[in-house]
Amino acid sequence: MNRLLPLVCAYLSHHPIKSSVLLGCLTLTLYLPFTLYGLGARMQSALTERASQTPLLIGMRGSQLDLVLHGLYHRPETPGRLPQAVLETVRQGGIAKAIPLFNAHSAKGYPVVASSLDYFAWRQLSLAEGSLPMRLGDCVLGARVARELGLGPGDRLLTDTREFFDLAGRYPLKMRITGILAPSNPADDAAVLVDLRTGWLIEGIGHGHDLLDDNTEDGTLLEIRNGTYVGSPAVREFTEVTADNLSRFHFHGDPALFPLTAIIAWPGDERAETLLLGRFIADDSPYMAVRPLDVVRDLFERLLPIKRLLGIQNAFLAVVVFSLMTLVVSLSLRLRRDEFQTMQYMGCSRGTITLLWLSELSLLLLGALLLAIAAAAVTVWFGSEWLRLMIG
Amino acid sequence: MKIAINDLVYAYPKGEFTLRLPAMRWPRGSRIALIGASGSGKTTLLRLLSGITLAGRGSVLLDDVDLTALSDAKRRALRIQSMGFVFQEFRLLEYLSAQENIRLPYRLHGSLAWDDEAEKRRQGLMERAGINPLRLRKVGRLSTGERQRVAVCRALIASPRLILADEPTANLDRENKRRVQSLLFAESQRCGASLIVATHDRELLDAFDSVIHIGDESKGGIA
Repeated sequence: MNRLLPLVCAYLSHHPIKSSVLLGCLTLTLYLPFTLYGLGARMQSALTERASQTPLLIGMRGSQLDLVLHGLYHRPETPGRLPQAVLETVRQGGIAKAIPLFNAHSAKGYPVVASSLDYFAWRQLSLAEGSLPMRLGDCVLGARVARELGLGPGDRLLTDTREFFDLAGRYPLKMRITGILAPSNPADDAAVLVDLRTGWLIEGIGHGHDLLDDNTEDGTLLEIRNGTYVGSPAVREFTEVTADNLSRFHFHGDPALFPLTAIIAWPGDERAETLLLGRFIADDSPYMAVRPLDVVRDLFERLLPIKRLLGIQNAFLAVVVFSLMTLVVSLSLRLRRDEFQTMQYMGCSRGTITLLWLSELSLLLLGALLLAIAAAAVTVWFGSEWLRLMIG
Repeated sequence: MKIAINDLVYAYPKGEFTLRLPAMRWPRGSRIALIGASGSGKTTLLRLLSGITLAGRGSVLLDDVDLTALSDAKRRALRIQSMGFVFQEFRLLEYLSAQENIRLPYRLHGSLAWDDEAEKRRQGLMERAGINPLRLRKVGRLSTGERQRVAVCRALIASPRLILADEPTANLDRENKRRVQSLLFAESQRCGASLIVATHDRELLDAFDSVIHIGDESKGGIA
């Protein structure tokens, strides 16, 4: 074989166009299934990894997938809002720890995820600079958000207006950035994390404005009704929480009814998990508890027929390419008839000539295999990042 | 190599011509010239002697081994190990350099080992043929005369016991013709090889032990 290799290499390099076309066709045939398989595997692994870190998710009854994508990847779609009181239902009896999530708003297009400080510890998020939110109106930026917006601790970030033409709508909140998270996972890297109360402030449940009391003389005090001071629309509402106006911020309504979009729960043991699931299993319950890992696995099982279909398509493609290759090779053999005849005249055995020819094909196949693996690895590397960014 | 032919008859496939060769014996180291008009059968005789083509009747014995009785694989092995063939149309591989073409027999057969001695022989042959400076050049970029000399060197590289050359000097000028002739004669002498040359060049004939006229029975030839 070694003695034939220089002949093989010399022939291939002497016909660069033919060799490149054959190499290209083979590479493409191998690249497509490799890449699809690689991307599928990476996506499955990424989804499964995060799902396996989240034992249970509780939300409004509806699409389980929406709830999982919302709770795990901060996707905006959610089956609905549930009252904060459900948090107590989860914690009841001390069978499970629970982290509330309220993710209904955005800032510069990035989701604003309101939660408790437990979220940082549970997701093992660490700060690259600055500090965690210290007061109402503070936020921490995910690594990607900070990089793409060019913001850092001390800067301000305005939340997005939900409805541009709704004049009665809430003002956007100018948040103070207290810290930047170290890169961790694509979902949290692309999120703005705030305290739950700040989330509700953005929602409009809480607000801050000029003090209205007996000494108000600028005409903004309309009346005092049953001891309640009623202000006119001219009362100045604060769009930013500062040290000076912090005490003027307050919330209206029953805290038990303040909204959440999901609750992350992890029961102490299997029995606790069964008990917790039992609390939400009733058909008439407006809430549901799901195991994210089961939902993700179910999703991939549903995708399996598509994967098989792609496999069949790849097989057809391979048949077409190999048929074309056979045609090219047979034409090439005809063109090389004189050359092989010369070898026979010189006394070369049929086996050696066949080996020479097979070596050429093998070398092309090997080259194509290496190229396809390299190209697929690059695609999977960048493609999986892109996929992960897409899903969260 | 000792050569014997026993009443060979070869009919061309289209049936227009039949080559008949009576019994002939040539001792080891013979130098034989084959002359005759174009199409008289000189190339066919060289092919019959090398076993590339098999006669319909009769036999060819090389060192008492009946070539016609050997299997195709054994004839091929005998050819690459013991014979050097200069083809009329050179039959060089375009994608190889001059020196790689010369080394080709060693690439094609495992029993031939390329060692320092072979490399020295390659260098010596190319120098004597006047083509050593061109050794790295692809043969497609060589002139006809240079290609012909590469073909001669390839036939001689494995120190064959039988050298068969079909018009080896046809495309050469006087100087190179002399070079190739002396190369063929010197190498055949060094290896103790028999040399059979088909040629139109009558200037060369004096150097041969015997001259066989093919296709002209009036001049004592054979048809």
